Amino acid sequence: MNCDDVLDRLHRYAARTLPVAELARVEDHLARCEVCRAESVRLLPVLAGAAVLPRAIDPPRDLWPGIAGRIADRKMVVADFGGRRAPHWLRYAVQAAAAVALVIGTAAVTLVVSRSADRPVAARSAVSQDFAALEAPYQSASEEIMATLQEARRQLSPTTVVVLERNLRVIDEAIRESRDALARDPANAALREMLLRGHRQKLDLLRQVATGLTQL
Amino acid sequence: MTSRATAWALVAETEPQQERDPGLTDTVRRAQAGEQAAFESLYREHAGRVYGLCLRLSADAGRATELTQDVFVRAWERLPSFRGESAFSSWLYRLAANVVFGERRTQGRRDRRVSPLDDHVLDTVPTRAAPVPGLALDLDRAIAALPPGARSVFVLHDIEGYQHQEIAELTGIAPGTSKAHLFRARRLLREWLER
Repeated sequence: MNCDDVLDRLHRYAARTLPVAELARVEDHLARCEVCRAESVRLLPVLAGAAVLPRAIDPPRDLWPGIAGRIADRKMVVADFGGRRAPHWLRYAVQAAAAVALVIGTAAVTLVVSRSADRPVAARSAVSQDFAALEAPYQSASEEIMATLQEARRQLSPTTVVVLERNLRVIDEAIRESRDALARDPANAALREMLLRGHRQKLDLLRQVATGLTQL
Repeated sequence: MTSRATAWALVAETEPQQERDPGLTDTVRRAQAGEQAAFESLYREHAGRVYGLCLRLSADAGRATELTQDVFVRAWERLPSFRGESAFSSWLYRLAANVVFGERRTQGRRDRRVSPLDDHVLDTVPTRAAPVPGLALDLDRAIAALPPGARSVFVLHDIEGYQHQEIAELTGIAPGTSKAHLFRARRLLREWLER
């Protein structure tokens, strides 16, 4: 053991946490090396003090409410692609899509202008039918890819399946919120675009996952 | 069934899950499944340790509070990637160090656009180390007064037990630089405590 090795272990020597064999080698070196011995005499009080410092320090207040609020906003976790390294763009796609969904859902709520009470029921119904026709192609394409992914879900770890399903639920919830907001304010072009964007994001996510599976 | 799946099934039959993945306690599993109450338990158990690490590395109680929250939010996001091969605490404290140094790199890029900060001009401990809330002991106050690079390495090496190579990977400095920072930190602390 050389001087560098001893100096590197001095904190553990001071804390008395060295394994027996290493302790013997350190002490043997200190007995033979005057420079290291002098250095250890000067440093041991500092290092012994550091060894007994409390590792845990209570935060000044309970931080849990702030943390809980932030993780509630997220409602999602990073996907684990069965232990294999998924392409960066694929991991990003799973997270980004759900993040977009949260923005869409939140924005849809704030953009609602409650004019539905002034609009005749028949007119609202006509707009709903018109909009259902716009959504149909997206829904059909998503369902087709979902059917394909069902076949391939064995390639993913159970945790990944749970994560993906949860993220898709988040996206679907955001789409539902946008649709509900649009039903109350059917002439709102921003809401309409927001809803279609949600569908496009969902479709993009599903396509990227399906493509990514072929690369795992 | 793939050979990997077959191997996994055989292991599952012969070895309890907890022994294979010691870090995957029941609380951790429940938190991984999205149970917020379970994650709160993990927070309550580890908050002091995480805050202590953030406080010693940042020497700023307000910043340490923010960083601690960031750590637990990041932990929530990364939970599914924790496989339990190590203790949950080890994984969490490593993640905390990554959060601190990730934030520091971002702040460093902002600072460099404003004015350069040379760690070497702070090569002496001030005659009076200002008190930092939460750090009552003389040694802790002296550590807080160290130049940032020396403080980081001293905290990681001599308090948290990281090796120089690990410190280099965390902080982006060379292992040799880490050793130099440690030498400087120990010397400054010794001078401070000998006054």
